[in-house]
Amino acid sequence: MISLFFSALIYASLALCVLLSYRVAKVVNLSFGSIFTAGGYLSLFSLFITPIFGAWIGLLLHIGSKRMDASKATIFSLGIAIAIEEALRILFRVENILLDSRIFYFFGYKLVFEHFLASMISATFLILFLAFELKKPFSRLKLKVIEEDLENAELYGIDVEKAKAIVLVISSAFFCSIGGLYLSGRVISPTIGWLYMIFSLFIATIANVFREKAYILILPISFGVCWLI
Amino acid sequence: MLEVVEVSKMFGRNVVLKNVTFSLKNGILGIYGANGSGKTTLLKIISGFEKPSCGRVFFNGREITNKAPQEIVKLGVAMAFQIPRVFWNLTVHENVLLAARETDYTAEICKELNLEDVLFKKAKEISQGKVKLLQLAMCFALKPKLALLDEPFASLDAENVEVVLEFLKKRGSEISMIITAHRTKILKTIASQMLEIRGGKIVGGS
Amino acid sequence: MLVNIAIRILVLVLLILPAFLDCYTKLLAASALTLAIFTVSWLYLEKDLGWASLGHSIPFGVSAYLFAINPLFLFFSPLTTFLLFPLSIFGKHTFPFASFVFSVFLWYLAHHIVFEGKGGEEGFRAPSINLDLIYLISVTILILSCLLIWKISNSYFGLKVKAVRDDEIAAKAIGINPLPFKVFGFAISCSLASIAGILHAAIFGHVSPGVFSPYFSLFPFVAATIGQGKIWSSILGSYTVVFLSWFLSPYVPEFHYAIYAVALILASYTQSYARSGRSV
Repeated sequence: MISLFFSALIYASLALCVLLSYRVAKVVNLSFGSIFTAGGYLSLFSLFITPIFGAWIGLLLHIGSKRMDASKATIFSLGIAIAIEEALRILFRVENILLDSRIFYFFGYKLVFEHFLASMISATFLILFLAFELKKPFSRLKLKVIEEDLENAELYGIDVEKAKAIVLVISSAFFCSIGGLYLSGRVISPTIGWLYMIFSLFIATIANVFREKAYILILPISFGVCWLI
Repeated sequence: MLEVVEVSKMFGRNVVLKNVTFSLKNGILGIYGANGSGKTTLLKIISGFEKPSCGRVFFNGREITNKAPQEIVKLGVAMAFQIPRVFWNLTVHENVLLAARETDYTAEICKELNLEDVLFKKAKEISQGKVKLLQLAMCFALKPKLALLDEPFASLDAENVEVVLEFLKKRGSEISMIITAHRTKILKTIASQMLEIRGGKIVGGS
Repeated sequence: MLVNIAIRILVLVLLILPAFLDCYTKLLAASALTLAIFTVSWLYLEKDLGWASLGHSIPFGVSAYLFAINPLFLFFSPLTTFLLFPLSIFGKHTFPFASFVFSVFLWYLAHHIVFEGKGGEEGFRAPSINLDLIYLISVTILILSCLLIWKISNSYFGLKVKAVRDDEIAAKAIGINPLPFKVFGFAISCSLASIAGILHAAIFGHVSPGVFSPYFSLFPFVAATIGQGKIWSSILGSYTVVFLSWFLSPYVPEFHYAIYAVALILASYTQSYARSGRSV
């Protein structure tokens, strides 16, 4: 149950990144899977470079997909995903790599330390975002306006490009960092990230049905889906 | 020919049509009213593109209230939309041919509606005015018994308004029509009957 | 004009020449041929119906699996239409990504398909057919599919299909029921993709979960991007991807993914998706 809860936290935060990318940046970011995988590979060197790499990919995605519509931006993100995957394949010639992990005991439950850390970071991310959602009315309104209609938001002075850049950079950095932590103790290959991305996409799709309440309901939905599956 | 019986339509809590009842045996019926009065919604209900919240529609004695639009077309009711719905990647000729199903009649309709000069251009390459004429051509190419024309004169210059008026007057003897417009001036030149719609209700007629 | 003729001649040479060469070249050409049929099936769905599928490995892979499990199941392969067609409820803009996600999901699921103690990650053995015979069948099917698509496309029926592609509401307004035309289009495309999958399984005598991988899901999209959306150039594009991949993969692992990345990124700048009328 404890590990289920921690997994649900992680998937909720990943799904939140997917949802924000879709609603604010207007792109279904299919490169999240490869960014997640890259985080795993980069953790072989250092965990601290994972958010930097993720942020850099997010920025690249933003610059590359400027002024593209949603479909083209998504295709572009898929191209980036395949490029990252191929780069990992070329750089790390070995097909499968086992990542190290540390075990610790949480109230008697055996857990992987890195997974626990990932879930704590996810929880912090979720809490911070919810605080932003609930406590800052004007910023929240800006977010809502951008979600509704990008062109109108621009007409009324909202810096849409800045908002899109922030969302893509932060979400990609987050995905990479979590990948670096959550893939610890597993055998990784360049294609491992697709499943995590699809799972997050699935949770985000269900949450999106609830429109305005999506951000608040994302954790319970994640918990429900993790428990069912 | 057409009977609309106590048709109402609500979008959420917004009542767009309230107990609209009228009939049309033949001729041209002009329906006028302000923006948001319910004219387009009424035509969409008759043509099957919207379902009424309550009420019924009969055409030639048959109830058509819940029929699919393509079935209503086969019964002889055709619609020309206010914002044209045409096939943008097909040529003007192909668009009309799809509706007419025969080449000779396609050519005849296109000639009458001043479309000969753009016949082999794609619909996305022609002007908005010509697209409007194309929409009309497609509607009449179906050889309907009843044509529903939603703001047929909008977006047209004076010359094309004359072309359309001539065309409608010529066809008016064979085909019944319901034409909607904001203003009565043009409608009065061709309509044999007039109805005013205000706030979703029929408030006057002549 | 000259370029078009040159492309057609080159394609004909690529179809005929390998039949007279050694076994290895014939195998390579046969693989490219089945993927060319696969690309043609995708192109019909995208050009004439306006649905750009990024999960066309669904009918391809499912049919290959059915054929490998029991050759008689190949007669059920047109039913794969009903795996891809329901995804059209997501609309033209989301359909490519929904189909891609579903194909990746099937890729993971295929690792767990076990039948009579066989399958899983290793896959299934498929009935192997004489290479010369399968090559001849593949060439015939490619030519027949191109002819079929050309015939349908240029008929009055094909005009109606394109009308439904452009605007379903306008189609209804002139008495066309869009559903049968959409189903028909998907059925033709999926049936051709299924045939390609069966031929692919027959050539290699084996089918594995890799048949649902992004290599196959994205292959026709990439080949069509290289071919600029034209049928003959896209066939040439298929050959290009296969040949480059086979010859360069020993130096750059799975080199085709490098081509895919470039094609996808370039396509996002140049191509249009969800082909339909301009929005008013």
